[in-house]
Amino acid sequence: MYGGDFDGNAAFAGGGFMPSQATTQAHESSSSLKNRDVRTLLPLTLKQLSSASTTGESNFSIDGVDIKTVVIVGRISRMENRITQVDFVVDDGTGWVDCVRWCHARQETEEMEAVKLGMYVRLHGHLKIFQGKRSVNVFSVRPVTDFNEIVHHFTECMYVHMYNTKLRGGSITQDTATPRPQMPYSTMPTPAKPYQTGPSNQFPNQFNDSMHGVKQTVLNYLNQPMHIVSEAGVHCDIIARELRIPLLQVKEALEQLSNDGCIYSTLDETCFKSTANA
Amino acid sequence: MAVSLTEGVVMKMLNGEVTSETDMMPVLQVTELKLIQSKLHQNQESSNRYKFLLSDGTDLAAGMLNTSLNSLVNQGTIQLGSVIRLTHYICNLIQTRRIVVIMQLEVIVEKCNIIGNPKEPGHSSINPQRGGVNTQSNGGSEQQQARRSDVNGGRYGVSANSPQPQVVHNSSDAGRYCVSANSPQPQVVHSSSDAGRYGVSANSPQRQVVHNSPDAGRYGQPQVSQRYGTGSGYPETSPSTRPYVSSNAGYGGSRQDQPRAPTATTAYSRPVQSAYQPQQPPMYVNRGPVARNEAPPRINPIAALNPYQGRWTIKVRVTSKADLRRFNNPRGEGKLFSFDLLDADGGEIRVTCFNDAVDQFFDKIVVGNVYLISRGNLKPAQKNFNHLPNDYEIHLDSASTIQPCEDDGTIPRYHFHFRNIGDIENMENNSTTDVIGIVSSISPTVAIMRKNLTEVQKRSLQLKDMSGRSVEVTMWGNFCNAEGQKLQNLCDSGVFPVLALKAGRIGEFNGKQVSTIGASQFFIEPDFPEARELRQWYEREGRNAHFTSISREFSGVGRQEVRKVIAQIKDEKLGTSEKPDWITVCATISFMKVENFCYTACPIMNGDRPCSKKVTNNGDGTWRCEKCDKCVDECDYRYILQIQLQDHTDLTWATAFQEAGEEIMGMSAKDLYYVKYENQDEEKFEDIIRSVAFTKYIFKLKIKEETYSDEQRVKATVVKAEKLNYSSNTRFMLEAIDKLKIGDANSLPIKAESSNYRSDAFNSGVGTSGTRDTASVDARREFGLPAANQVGQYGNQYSSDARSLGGFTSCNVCRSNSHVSANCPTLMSEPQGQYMGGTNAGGGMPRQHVGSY
Repeated sequence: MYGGDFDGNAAFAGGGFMPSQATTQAHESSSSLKNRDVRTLLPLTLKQLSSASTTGESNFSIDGVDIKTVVIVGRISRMENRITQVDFVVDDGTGWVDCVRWCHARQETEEMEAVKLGMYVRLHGHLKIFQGKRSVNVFSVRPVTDFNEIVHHFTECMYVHMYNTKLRGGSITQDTATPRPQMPYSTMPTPAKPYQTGPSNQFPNQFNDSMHGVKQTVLNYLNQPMHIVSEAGVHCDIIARELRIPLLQVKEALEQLSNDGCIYSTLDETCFKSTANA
Repeated sequence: MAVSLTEGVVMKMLNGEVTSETDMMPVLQVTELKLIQSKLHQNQESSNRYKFLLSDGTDLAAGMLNTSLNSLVNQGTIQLGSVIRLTHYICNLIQTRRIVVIMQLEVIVEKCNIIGNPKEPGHSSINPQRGGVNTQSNGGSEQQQARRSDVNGGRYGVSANSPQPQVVHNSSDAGRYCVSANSPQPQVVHSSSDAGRYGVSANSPQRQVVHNSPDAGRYGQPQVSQRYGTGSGYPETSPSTRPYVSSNAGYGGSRQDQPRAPTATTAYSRPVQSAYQPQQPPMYVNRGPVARNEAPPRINPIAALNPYQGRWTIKVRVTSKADLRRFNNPRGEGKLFSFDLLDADGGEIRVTCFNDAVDQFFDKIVVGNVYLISRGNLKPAQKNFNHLPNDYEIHLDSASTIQPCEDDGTIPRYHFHFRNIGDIENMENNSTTDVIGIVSSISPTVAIMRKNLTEVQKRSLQLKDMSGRSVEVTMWGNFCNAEGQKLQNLCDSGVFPVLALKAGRIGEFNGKQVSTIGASQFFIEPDFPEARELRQWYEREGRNAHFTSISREFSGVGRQEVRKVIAQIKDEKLGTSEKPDWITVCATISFMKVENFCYTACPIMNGDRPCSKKVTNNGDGTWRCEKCDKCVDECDYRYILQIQLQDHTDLTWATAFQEAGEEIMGMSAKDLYYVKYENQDEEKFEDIIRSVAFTKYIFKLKIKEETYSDEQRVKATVVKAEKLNYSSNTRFMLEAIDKLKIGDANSLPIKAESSNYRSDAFNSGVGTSGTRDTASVDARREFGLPAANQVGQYGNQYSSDARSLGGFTSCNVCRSNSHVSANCPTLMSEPQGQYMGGTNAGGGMPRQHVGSY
C-alpha cells in the first residue's frame, strides 16, 4: 500500500533529473497539465476541503487547482479501530472529514497506535469519494508536538489560497467559474512592505491570463529608462533570458504588444522598443 | 644710600603718564630677574627672554628685556640688585598689564642692596605665598579686590613673612586712598622702609636659592608653564606636555617653601609695632566694616568656566570614573585617571589627574557623590579622548581642592543627549552619542584575539526604537559579562528590556553600528521619561512593527537567498544558464529512495577535509582509493540521498549529500549503514526512513544543468536543509500575503523578486532586486540612498591651540646716541611681536604707538 501510492513517480527516479525540456510547447502543456494533477501538495482547511468542486468520481479542484495530495491539521474527534483499517474523524474548527488509514504493515499499525482520541495530528492523504461521501485516504499521520504548527497551517492555507487565486488565475480545465470559498480567518493588520519577497511564477498552459501577465512584464521591462534611451531596442532573446520567460511566450507577447501599439520593432523583427517617449 | 632712584616714576608709568624715554629716563633698581624660555624654541638661545621687576623705591613695575641685551645678563653686568638708567624703552599695555619693554639701558651700579621697600600694585608676584595669613577679605568691588590682592601678593613676595609689616603697609594703603595726608604718615613710611630693609637682608641667601631655579633646566619649565597654566595671559602650551607639567608643578611648589622667614626676623620685628602703638586704632576702625564682609565661596556653573578666570568653585556630581592607567613617554613613566562631572545646570566637564594628583585624589572620588572642586587648570579638551559637550577640561594638581559635601538633589545623576537610531545613519564615524532603544535580540559572547595577542570579549545585540530603525550594538570587555548576561536573561524570558547607552561610539563595518568605549555606561530598564515613553510605544505598536536595520548583517554565503516555489524551477528555466542558480524552497519530503543511500568513501585527510572519493573493495577487507593511491583498512560512509520534494505548486527530485543528509536523517551515514547491514535490523531501518517522510524543511537548492547520455537535464542538489521554524515561516507567509494584496491593488502580477530572507524578520533589510519592473528600480534607488549618506569624514583631527610667543628680531644695537635713528626698525618689530603674542591686543594701540613717533 505504501509503495503503491507513488507508482506514477517511478518515472522520475533517475538520480534527481527532471523531464527533458526538448519538447514542443503543446506537448509540454499537456504533459504539465497531467503531471500537475499529482504533483501538488495542498494545505487545506476542512471547510475548503468540503467546499471543493468536483468534476467526476475522483477529481477535485479548488481555486482552479486540482486536488490530489492534501495536508490537514486537526484534532481527532472520533476513532474506530477495525481489523484492517482505522476509521477516524478529524476536526480543525472549520469543518470535519472522515479519514481512513489502511494498516497492512507493522509500521502503519504502530503509527496509528501512537495516535489517541482528542489528539492534534498532521496527516497527509488523498482526497476521494468513498461510499458516496468525501473521505481522505491517509498515508501519514504525525502527532502535533509544537502547537505553533496549527497557526502555521492556517496561515499556509490562506497563503496558498491567495497564491492560487491571484497568480495562477485558474486552470483551463475548469469550464465554468465556481464561487470561491470565503477565507476562514482575516489576516493580522500589518504595515505594507512593498519590497518584501513574494514568490510568483507564470504557467505556460494558461494562455490568456498568463499571456496578460507576460505582456505586462515585458512591457515593464521595455519601459525601463535604460531601454528607452537605447536606439536599437532590446532583442527578444535578451528579454527572454532576463525575465526568465520561455522564448515562445516572449515572442507571442511582443507580437501582441506590437499590435496594441505599445511597442515597435527597430532594427529588424527581433528587436523591440517601447513607444513611451517615442 | 649712595644711589638715588627716580621716585614715583613707576606709578606714572602704570598710569600712562610716562610711556617712553622722551618723557623721562628714570633710574630704577632690578629686584627680580627671571629667564623665560619659549616652549617651541627651547634650543634657540636667541628666543630667550629676560623678565624682571623694576623698583623706584616705592613701587614695582614688570619689565621685559630686549633679546639684544641678553648678553648683559649672561655676563653678569645686570643682576639682582643692579641699578640701571632706561635710555630707550616703551611702556605697553598687554592684557590689562603695563609692561616696560627696554631696548637700551645704562648700568649705573652692578650690584647693590635692595633700596627701599617696593611693592607691586599691578602684577602678581612670580612666587606668590601659598597658604599665607591673609586677614583681608576678597569681597567688595572688583577693582578694590584686585588691588588688595595684588598688594598682598607683592608684600608677601618682597618683604619679610611677618604679621607686623602687614600692619605697616596697611597704613601705606590708607595714605594712598586719602586725599589729605596725615602728619604722622611720613613717619610710618620711613619706619616701614627700615623694617623692609632688614627683612630682605635677612632672607637674601635663601632668595638666591629660589632664583637660581630658572637656571636649572629641570625646574625652569614647570615654573614657566605653571604661569601659563594659571591663565596669566600667555598662549596655551602644547597638550602633549601636560602630564610633565602637572608632574613637576608639585616639585616647584615644594621648592617655594624654602624662602620662609626664620624666626629671628619675626622676633626682631616685634619691637617696631610697640613703638607705634598709638597710631593703629584709628586705622583699624576705618577698615573694620570691609574686613568683616566675608562672603562664602561663590559657586560657578560649569558652563561659565574659562581659562581666563582666576578662581572658581564648582559644585558637581561625579557621573563616571575611569580606571587608573599608566603610560610611558619620552619623559618617563606616569599615571593618570579621569572622571566626569555634572552640575545642577546640566553642564558637563571632564577632570584629568596626572601622577601626584592621582595619588592625592584617586581614592577620594566616588561615583555618584557631590563635591566642591576649585583651583584646577582649564585646558582645551582633547576630543579624541573626551566626548563630553564641553570645549575645556580640568587638570588638577596638588594645589587643587576637592571637598566632599552633602548630596544635592538639584544635581541630576545622569545627563543624556539621545539620538534616534535613524539619525545615527547620518552621523560621522568615530563620533560619540547616547542612544536608547528596545533590545530585540542578543548574541553570545565571543572571544576575539587582537593584534597585540591579547584576548578581548565581544558581544552584540540589536537595538530598535521609534524611528523604525534598528542598529547593532557591540559590547566589549566587561560589558559582555555583567550587563550582557542580564540582558540575555531578560530576552530569554520574553521581556525585551529598554537599554540606554551613554557615550557609544559610532563605527562602520558592514553598515553602521555602535560600540562601547571605556567611558560608556549601560542602563537597563532605566527610570526616566524617555525610557517610559519607549516602553509604552513598544507595548502599543512597536512589538509588531517592522524595522529596517542600518547594520548590514554579514552572511556567510555571498549569494542572495531567493525564496521560490518548486514550479518556478521549470517555469523560469532555472539552471539553464552558464552559472547554477541558488534558491530556497519550503517543501515536504514526500518520498525517499532507500536503496544505495550512501557510498563508501575514502577517509584519508587531505588538508582539513577528507578525500571523500569512492573507494573500491579489494576483497581482502581493505579498500583502495584511486585518487590517493592508497589502501585503508576501514572506509567511511557518506550520504547520497535521492529525495522527492513537494510543495503546493510542484514536485521535484533532489540529491542530498553528506551535510544535508545528516540534517535530514538525524544520524550519520555510517550509523545508518550499520543498522541496515551490520545489525540486519530491517525494522529499525524502516522506522527511521518512515519518520523522515512527510516532514517539512527549508531547503537550499543548487539548480544546474548537466549532460547525461547526450541529453540536457536539470539537476537539483540540496546544499542545506533546515528544520522548519513555524514562527518565522508564519511571519514570512504573512508578508507574502501582504505582497499579494498589494499586487492585486496595483493590477500587476508580481514577478519574483530577490530578497534577503532571514529567519528573524524583525531585522530583515531592504530587499535588493534585479532589473525587472518599476517597483524594483524604486527599491534599488531607495536602497542606494543610505549608502551615499554613510560616506563621511573619518575622525576628528585634533589641532592644538598653542601658539609660540612672538619673538623679537635680534639686531646689533649700538648704544651711541648718534645711532638712535638706526634703532627705528628694531623698535617697529618688537611691538608687533608682542601684539602677536597677546590675544587681547586692541586695534587702537598700533595707531597710537606709531603716531608717537
